[in-house]
Amino acid sequence: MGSTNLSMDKADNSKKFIEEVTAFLGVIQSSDVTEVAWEKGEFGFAVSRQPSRKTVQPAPPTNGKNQAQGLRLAVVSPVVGTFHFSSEVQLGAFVKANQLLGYVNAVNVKHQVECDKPGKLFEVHVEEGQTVEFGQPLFTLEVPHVS
Amino acid sequence: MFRKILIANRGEIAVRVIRACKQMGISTVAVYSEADRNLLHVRLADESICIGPAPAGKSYLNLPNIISAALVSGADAIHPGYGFLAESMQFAEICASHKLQFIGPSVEAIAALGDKASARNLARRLHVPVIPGTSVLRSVSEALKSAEEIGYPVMIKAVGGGGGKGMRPAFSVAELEKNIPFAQAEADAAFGDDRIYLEKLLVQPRHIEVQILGDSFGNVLALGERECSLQRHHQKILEEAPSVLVTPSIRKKIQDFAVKIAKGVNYTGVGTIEFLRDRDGQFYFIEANARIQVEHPVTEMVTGLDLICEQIQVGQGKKLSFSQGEVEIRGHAIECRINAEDPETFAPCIGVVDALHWPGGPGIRVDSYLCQGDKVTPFYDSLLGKVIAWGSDRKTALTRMRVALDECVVGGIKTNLPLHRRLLRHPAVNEGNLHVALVESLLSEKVLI
Repeated sequence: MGSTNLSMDKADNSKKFIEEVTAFLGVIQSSDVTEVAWEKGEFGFAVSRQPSRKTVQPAPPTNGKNQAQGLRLAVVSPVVGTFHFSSEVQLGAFVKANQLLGYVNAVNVKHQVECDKPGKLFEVHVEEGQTVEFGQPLFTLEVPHVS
Repeated sequence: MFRKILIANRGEIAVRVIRACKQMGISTVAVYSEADRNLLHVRLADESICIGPAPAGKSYLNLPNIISAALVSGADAIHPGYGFLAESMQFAEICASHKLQFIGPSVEAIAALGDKASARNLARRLHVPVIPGTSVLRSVSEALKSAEEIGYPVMIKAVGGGGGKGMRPAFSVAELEKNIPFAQAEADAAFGDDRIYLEKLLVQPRHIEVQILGDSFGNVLALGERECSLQRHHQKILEEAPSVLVTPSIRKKIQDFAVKIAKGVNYTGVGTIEFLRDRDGQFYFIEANARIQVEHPVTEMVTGLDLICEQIQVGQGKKLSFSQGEVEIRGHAIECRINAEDPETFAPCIGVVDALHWPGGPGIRVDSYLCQGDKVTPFYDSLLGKVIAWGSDRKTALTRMRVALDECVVGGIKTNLPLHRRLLRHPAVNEGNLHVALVESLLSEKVLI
């Protein structure tokens, strides 16, 4: 118990706000949110950060068409929301590592969707404005084998 | 009238709520983690949305994903079940700000009852007896002084707590000084709030709780009591309604206490007001739970009410359709919680359920999500299901429960079925001589294993 103080006095508004912000940032940190702004009464803040790299997963099985010539990896949705394409995305195009492929709008927060490896955009599994769930495959990338 | 409800939970309570919605003609949206993809609640719901990976913090406690799932699915209400976000003020507030009806009490009621110390103060103001104790403690010296005034033994309790977490007994000054840091650390880990208070520790009390139901018109009804004295480490394992020692006059007294507390916070929806009864027959308020409880089926079986449907009706803004005088307690009901745990060490068990048979017959009800072939994972609580037995009297209910549990098969993992089977044959249980330390004392005497 240290110096015998047991707890913080939560009647102090600024202390309460700091605690709330800390808890809120903890929630944001564990998510893939890249930009957020928050206001409460006279207090407010804005945060932006580099987007986290998305986990690539084995691509979903195809129906035999568009056979890939390298390693196939899926880019999946990081959250629940509605998906929107980046204007730069084209099927068959070569994309760079960390290129923005689109974003998922969840509760008015845009969660960026990027590929963390370079490759060819082999398949698109989603339509503009489609509702997506966590982990849902959005794209399949064909990543060249390294010999 | 709700068109669509999202159930922000999993397991047996998600199945329970989905069933109630289907009976009411309301569409359902299930949410699930990647570990729960193949579970029953996902298959039963009209729609389902994956909200995150297995860990609860990234899925069932992931507010943004749950809210987003409700918005994209077009749900107009969210049922939180129990545990997880069921008593989260933040969640209730966020639902309201997105025009989603939170099926539960108001944010203010959750706040008033969720803080255990303020709930005690409320009870005191309403002249409902509380266990002698303190408000939030500010120092060790204050704790020691208060304990001297209350008289040892005392119980250290977490202000933000419930479910038995953050509780430590102290029988002396030395034990109090030693246990305060442990209790604070446990409270902080469980609830993110290390504030504590003291209560007098009652010796061998009985846990009696009252089910309440309130609407937004100021009506609050009491739906009888439940006895939940059979606990291990403050976790209930067997509950029953009514309590063998509650006479009609005692029932009226504790129901009046419960309704008074509920009305004191303008309570709407279902909730439970918990009491401890000491050996002298004195009832003391201990805490209120602003949600549906695991053991709600025993109340349903003796009253004939569907508490989830009533909860949804109230959530839709409807007035209670019956009065206190129309509440009747008929017969006796017992519930056994079947957990995936080692019956001797009580360590949680995981694995694939390779054989499953739930019992049936007159007066037997099973609330479970479990299906044969399911994988029990380490990410969530160990409750597999609840077996409930009703009879015209307690003896019949006990007999039906013994037969039911003897028939029950859960293969591939260990469960506490053997513990229940021995408990139901112990004279103390059969005679109704219960108290909250009974299970622990029988275990320590090696009577139940």
